[in-house]
Amino acid sequence: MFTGWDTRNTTIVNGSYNPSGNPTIAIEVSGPLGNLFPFTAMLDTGFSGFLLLPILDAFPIGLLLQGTMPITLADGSTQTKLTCLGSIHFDGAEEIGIIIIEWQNTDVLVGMEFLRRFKKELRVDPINGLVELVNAPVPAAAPAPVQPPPVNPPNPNP
Amino acid sequence: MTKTPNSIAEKGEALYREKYQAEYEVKYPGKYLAIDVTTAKPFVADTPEDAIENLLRENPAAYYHIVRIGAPGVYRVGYAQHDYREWVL
Repeated sequence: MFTGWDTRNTTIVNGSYNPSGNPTIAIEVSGPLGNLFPFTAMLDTGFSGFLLLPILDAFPIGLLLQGTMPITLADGSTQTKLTCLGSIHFDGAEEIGIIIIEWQNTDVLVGMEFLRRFKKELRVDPINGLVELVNAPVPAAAPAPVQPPPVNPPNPNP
Repeated sequence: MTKTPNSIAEKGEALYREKYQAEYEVKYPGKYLAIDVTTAKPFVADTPEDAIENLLRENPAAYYHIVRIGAPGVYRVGYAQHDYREWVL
């Protein structure tokens, strides 16, 4: 029986599911003009990047589309996309990252780099209708290397 | 000069291939390179954001192309797309 996750000492941001059954969260995006634009973004762990936006959503934000980059598609092919820098505002924090611009009218996606930047752990439970982002536990510091005991060379003159 | 995403990317890829790839794949594997496609100046950093910010600090109006050194794409997406259009900047 599901008894819930251990939520001690964590701040939980709840998401929801879109009509296709995919997990989504509410974010705000800004560009050089500074105005915040709200979006419902799909959490896509198959996307290694930060944010993918349809081009029609990029114009009102005022994003400066100056860059290009190749991205690798699921079938292994590569495709050139327009890119720019922009900010995501989420859970009281702001992170700057690369926004990939998609010419098609597609879902807004946030990917693994989003989770990394905001230091979040993603919990998805479609059975119980839960989408939760919690602060990722801070990795334990690496233990100090153990000094090997000094080796006493055999006494050549016993 | 009319610029399209493909023309910027082709120029950037050509510059990378001809001037930097052989050396950088040995010296900087896995790092990110932003190339100003007008001046051909390269900016290498640990993250693509840092590479772009360094480039834009020097030339805020630059058109640039980003490469992950030694990899075919900077990022991966979980979908495929076969209907691809070109548009003019």
